[in-house]
Formats: sequence, C-alpha cells, structure tokens
Amino acid sequence: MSDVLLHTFACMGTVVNIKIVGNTPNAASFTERKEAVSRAENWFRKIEVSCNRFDATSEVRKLSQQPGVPVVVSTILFQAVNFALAVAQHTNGVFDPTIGRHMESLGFTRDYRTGENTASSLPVRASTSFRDVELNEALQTITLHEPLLLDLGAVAKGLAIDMAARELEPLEHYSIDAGGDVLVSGRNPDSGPWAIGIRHPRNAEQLIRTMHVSDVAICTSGDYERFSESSSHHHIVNAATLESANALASVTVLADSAMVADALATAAFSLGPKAGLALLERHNVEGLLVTPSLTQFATARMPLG
Amino acid sequence: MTHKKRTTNNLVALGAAGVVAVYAAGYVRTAAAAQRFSDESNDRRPVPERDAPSPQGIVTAGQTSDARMAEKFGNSASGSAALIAKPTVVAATNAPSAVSVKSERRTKNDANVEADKSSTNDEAVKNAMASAASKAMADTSKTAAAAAAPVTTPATTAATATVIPPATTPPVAATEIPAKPEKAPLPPGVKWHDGRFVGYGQSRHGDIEATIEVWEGKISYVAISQCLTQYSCSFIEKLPQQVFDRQGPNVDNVSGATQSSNAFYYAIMQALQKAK
Repeated sequence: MSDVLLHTFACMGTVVNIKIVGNTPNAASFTERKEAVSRAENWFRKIEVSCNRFDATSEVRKLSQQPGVPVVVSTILFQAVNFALAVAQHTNGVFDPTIGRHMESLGFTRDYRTGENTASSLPVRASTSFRDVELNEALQTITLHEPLLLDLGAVAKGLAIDMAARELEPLEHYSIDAGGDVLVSGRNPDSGPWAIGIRHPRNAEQLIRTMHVSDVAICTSGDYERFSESSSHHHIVNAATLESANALASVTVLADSAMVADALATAAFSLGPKAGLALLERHNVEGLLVTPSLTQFATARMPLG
Repeated sequence: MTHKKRTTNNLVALGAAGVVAVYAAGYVRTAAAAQRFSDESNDRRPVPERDAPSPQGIVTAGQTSDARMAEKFGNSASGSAALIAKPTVVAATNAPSAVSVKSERRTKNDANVEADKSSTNDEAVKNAMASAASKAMADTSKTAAAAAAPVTTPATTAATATVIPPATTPPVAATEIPAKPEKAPLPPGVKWHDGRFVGYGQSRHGDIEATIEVWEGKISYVAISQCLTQYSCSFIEKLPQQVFDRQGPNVDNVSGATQSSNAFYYAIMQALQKAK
C-alpha cells in the first residue's frame, strides 16, 4: 500500500501541490518528510517575496523605483533576472522580462491574493528592452538604464519548483505541481513512472496527451488562462510585437529544470510553431506545440504515448 | 528520460548554474531553520520507549490510532499526537452535493451523513491526519521555525500523555489489532476496497471535497460532495463523469491544468488512496 504525504499551499498566484511517496523500504520518516516539505514551501515564499511584480513592496518592484543606479539584489532576484535576460538574448527579445510595464498597461495589474490593483506609476515606454538591464555578477547588482518593470512570471515559479526539488531530493519519489507546472522524481504511488497529462488547450476537461515520465520538469504555457480585464489579451505577449502571441494555443516543454522548461515554453509560445520548435531543438529539450486548430508539433524525442 | 545523458546547451547549463547558485546562497538560512525544527522535534519526543510505562489496558481510541500512525510513519510521536488533536474535517457548511455521478444501484446522495457513517475510527484518523497535516503546513509561511509552532502546542502535553510503544512490541500490537482490523488483501486485478471514501483538494479559490464509492472493486459513485470555491463549480461538473467512466483519474498530474480541476483530481486521488 502506498503511503503518500500530500501538502498543498497557495503561492505565486497558484496552488502548489507536493506529493511524497513514502512506501519504499528506506523511506524517510514522517518528520523528515514534513521538514523537507516545509523547506520546499519556504523557497516558494522567499522567491515570491523577491520576484512578485504585483506586490509593491517586493524586491523587483523596489528595483524598478531606482532606475539608473546599480542596486545590490538578492541572489534569487539576480539569478532569476540573469536567466530571463539570457532567454531574451536567445530569442532576440521575443521573450523579454522588461515587458512588465506593458503587461500592466494591458490590464494585468491585479494582485491575485487581494484582488487589489497594484499597478506601478512608471511611464509606459514601448521602447524598453532587455538591453536596458545591466547585471554585474561580481557585485551582484542590477542596473536599469530605463525606468522599467521586470516581469519574472515565466522564470520565478520554475525557479521555486527547482529549489523545492532540491530540498526533496533525498526523499527520492515525489512530485511538485505548481498550477500545472510539474516536476516529478522517482516513482509514483503505484511504483511506476509518473503519468502526466497535458491539458487540452480548448477543453479544460480533456487531456490532449498523456506521458509516462520521471526525473523531469514539465511546464505548459497556454493561451487559455488569465485573460486581462481590459482587453482580449491573454498573458503571453510577444515582446517584439507587443501583441498576444496567437500562432499557438499551448506549448509544453520537458527539461531537467522547471525554470528552463517554463521559460522555454513561454518563449516558444511567443515564437510560433516553426521558430518555437527550432528553439527547443537547439537547446536539447523536448516539447509539444499545439496550434489553435489543434495541429501538434513535437520534438524528435518527446515521450508521447 | 534521456535528457540527463545528452549534452546541454547554453540556456540549459545556465539555468542549472542559476539554480545551484540560488540554492547555495539560500541554503545557509534554510539549513539553520531546518536544524531548529529538528531540534525542537527532538525536544518534544517522549522518553525512550523502553523506559515508558506500557499503556496497555488503558488504550483509548486516540492512543491506538496514535500507535498505528507511529507504526506507519516512523517514531514521530509528537507529530502524530498533534495531528490527532485536530478535529476531523467536514466543514460546517451545508453546501449541497454539487455534482455527482452514480451507478443505478446507488440512490443515496447525502455525502455528509454517509461520510460520518463511514468515518470509522480509521477513516476519522486518516481524515484528521490529512487535513491537519495540510493545515499545519499551510498555516506556516515565513520560516521553518514557524512551521514547527503549530505542532508544538498540543503535542507537548499529548505526547507525554500517550507514550507510544514501539510498533513491534507484541503486547501492544495485540491490543491494537482488534481496534483496527486490517483490510483484507485485495484479489488480483482489484485496485480498491469496497466502501465510501472522501478526499479533499485545495485550490486558491477554495476547497473541493470529493466522495467516491467503490462497489465490488469498481467505482460506483463519484461526487463533488462539497464545493467551497469562490466561484461556481459548474466548470468542473463534468469531471466526476470522467472519473466514473475511466474508473479513476488516469494521470498523476496535469500540465497546464486549471486550478479547480487540479483540486478535484487531488481530492479523488486522496479518496482512492484511502480505498487501497
């Protein structure tokens, strides 16, 4: 009989479910599992405090109030921005974390926890880009050369999942599910690989695919969640055209790291089927791209079936 | 998966390096908190078993369950005692059964009554444990040290009062067995025991309670027995039919899922877990 510890909490605009399978011969004690889960949750909280664009007191919002000067930031914020900028470079700015203020102007301004409008008072400038952000690794500083707001939505949740996974690593068999961004390790409660469904982008009650995998992160970016209040834009915006990307309905990416999977799913979504698929192939990650007419494109080694 | 064996490219390597950097920088703080948590747990642990007076003869329902939990989860007396101190769940709402699917032979659809009925000692303990565990965790937020707090208060008294003998001690095992007859082994090909089982799933918009019934090894009834979400549950009303048709959720997780359907699946999974 399986012995599964389920732990659920709300964080980062979503619900996080951690599942620890404990029926193995050398399974950790209940206390050990609880401790690990508690540390995993702490990572989510810490990363949210740093990276939440919707919270006026977050580190990322404070950073946006100090354009033009190098600001010493936490390792969390530094690494999240560092990675987001690298993805921006690799996609020629189609993915761009400096899009925060633009997202606000599209109506993405509500703090999911309070429902409060938390828009910053920064000017909207269509011209800001990732090139306006300078990092200094030695001093761990970030300099914003233009007044801009960083949106780390595609990176922070993945980073939190990766951190949580590090804490749970000794427990071997577990899954972390943060609102559909999933990381699985070891075996599922039935001692097999984890069965992961990919949501059908046009019907919430259906799965478009099911995979049996382990030791991998699976993240999906879709056009079906979080429409803004003031327009018909969904939450993934092509930073180069500033319109919601519409050539794809959803992109699922499999990678060792949830941060990588999440960011590449978002980037591929913005790029469209052809360039998106090429991006995934170039980085040796697997993925499934689904168009609005439900045509599916998969990388060569995507474990479908 | 083949990913790990393959050469990594820039972004993949950079991502991995970033994760390591954050973990390394942050570990010092979490490690300290974890250590504190661990120390406090040790402080709360009851005296070693061999010195403990045997509780047999005065075994109450709570103690038996406690011993069972210790057997199940290792020697974590304080933790399990605290969990049992929490009341059994079933929120005091009278939300009607929102959505249900059932086979013809079943007509009754009063989840709360049935839940109480099937809440034998065993079910009650498991429910309490599951809900208390998640509550205790959910209540914590800022630090691991804080996480220890909800466990502490009821535990210190409860744990000393109900000292747990090692699960292997024969006399205790003997008093324990009548209180909780082991489920009969399942015949091959049968996944679940017959009975009614309740599971809970949480979402940011509220909680979902699902009830399943298993009859002759098959799911004969699935219901969203309580839908405590802020919004109507209509958008997940087809899910019970799906579970019924497929005889269980056929996946562990759904990538890209909406939160409410996630909550429903977790509720079903938890219920089926109890049926095993």
